[in-house]
Amino acid sequence: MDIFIVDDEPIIHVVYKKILANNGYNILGEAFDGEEALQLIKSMDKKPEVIIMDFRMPIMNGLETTKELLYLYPHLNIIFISADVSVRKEALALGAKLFLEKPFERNGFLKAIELLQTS
Amino acid sequence: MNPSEDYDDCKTCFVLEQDVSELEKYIEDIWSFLPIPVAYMTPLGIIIDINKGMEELLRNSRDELVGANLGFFFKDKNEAKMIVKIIRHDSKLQIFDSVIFDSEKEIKNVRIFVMPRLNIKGEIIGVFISFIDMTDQIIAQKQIIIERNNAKLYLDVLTHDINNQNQAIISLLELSKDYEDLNDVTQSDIGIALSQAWAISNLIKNVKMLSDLNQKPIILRDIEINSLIKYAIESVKNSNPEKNIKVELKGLDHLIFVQANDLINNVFQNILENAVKYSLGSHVRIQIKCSIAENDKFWKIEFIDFGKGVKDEIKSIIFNRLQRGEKGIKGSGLGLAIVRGILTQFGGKVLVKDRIDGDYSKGSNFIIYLMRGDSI
Repeated sequence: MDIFIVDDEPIIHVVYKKILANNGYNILGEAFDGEEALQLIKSMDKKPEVIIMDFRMPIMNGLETTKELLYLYPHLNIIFISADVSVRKEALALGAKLFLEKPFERNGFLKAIELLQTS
Repeated sequence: MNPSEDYDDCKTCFVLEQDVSELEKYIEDIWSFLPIPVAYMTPLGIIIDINKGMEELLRNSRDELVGANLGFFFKDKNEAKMIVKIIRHDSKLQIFDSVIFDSEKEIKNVRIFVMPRLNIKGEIIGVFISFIDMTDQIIAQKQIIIERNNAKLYLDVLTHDINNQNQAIISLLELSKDYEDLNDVTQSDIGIALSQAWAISNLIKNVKMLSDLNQKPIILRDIEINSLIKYAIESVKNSNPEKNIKVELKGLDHLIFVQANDLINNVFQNILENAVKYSLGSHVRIQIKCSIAENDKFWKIEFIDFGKGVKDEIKSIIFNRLQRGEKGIKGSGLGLAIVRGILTQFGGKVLVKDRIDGDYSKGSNFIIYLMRGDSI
């Protein structure tokens, strides 16, 4: 399964990549802000099956990025992962499939990815 | 009329004159004694007289102010004209907030009270006007808003950033536990570090919740609590795997609806966590009883534990922020403060009693009252 990571914290990228790689997932790409994510995903022939999206990021936040991405590619699976629980409703209303609160447990995170894989 | 009647009339006149003179003196004394600035002016706003308070506020002498147009002191001259217009059409007491200059051009925020004086025919013959200096109050209010917003921003940034960094710590510790060649001591140390990282996140979450409690408008709805109590029990069992927790339920065999919102989960979880935290040994026994109370308007839910209990001197302060029940017990001391904060918003309350009256050491009874919902 191909996954794309969008988060402005480099250490969080390390964490995601370690957990996902240990569990057989492929990291298709990564971005550190919403705009970079948009550009990279637009340029990809093969789109990611799951996008992990943070909320607070420079240049373009996770909500704006989710809106743009789903407008362009309505079938993308976006899982919103943020320490900001206040944006949960908005993220889901925009079309994110799941919302996870940071910090999360590894098992909960992996279950969420599995859920998207089977849906 | 005989001479003696004449004499009596003159005597009456003299007494009346004396009374009027006394009265005038009395009014003058009150006028100058009044600590609030007052002016008397014509219906067109020309100052006839001012008291000492007004002299001090406008930083000008009475001699210089009498005869001046009061509009001169307003920052917005049209506002003064508008006040005069309103007075002509409505002879009741009027209150306005405005900005004036004193004679040294210093700006003052004032609350203005304007009261027309009428003659017997109901015509306006003069106007009393009083200014209350609100400058310091307005500056303080603005400062409070700025400081409150700053505090909110700092907390927001802190909450977000600590949770982000804690995510990395938690995930890396979880990954470290996977290494097979770790000895038992290292495994145990990683476990302790993990639980501490979670404790930091819970502390941050609680501080944020407590801060948000009084800032967001509360919308209550009917919430069924049977399943929430069961969920809270399971959750507390999961977070305390080293303890054997048994919970007996009474009065929960029919659906119970209360006026609340999603924060109610935190009430049940915090009270149960508290009961487990202060229990003795690894076996924890808790009873939860539901009954109708307070003229059928409330549900009374009792959480009875068999733990260390709460000493009488602590009972009244245990719901205060940062109050811990006992030394050496881990926790932020925010749990019960959150319970009280949430219940207060729901129009309910919480109190603590001894499980057995008069003997705190046999355990506690945390009693919460929640308004009954309309749903059956």
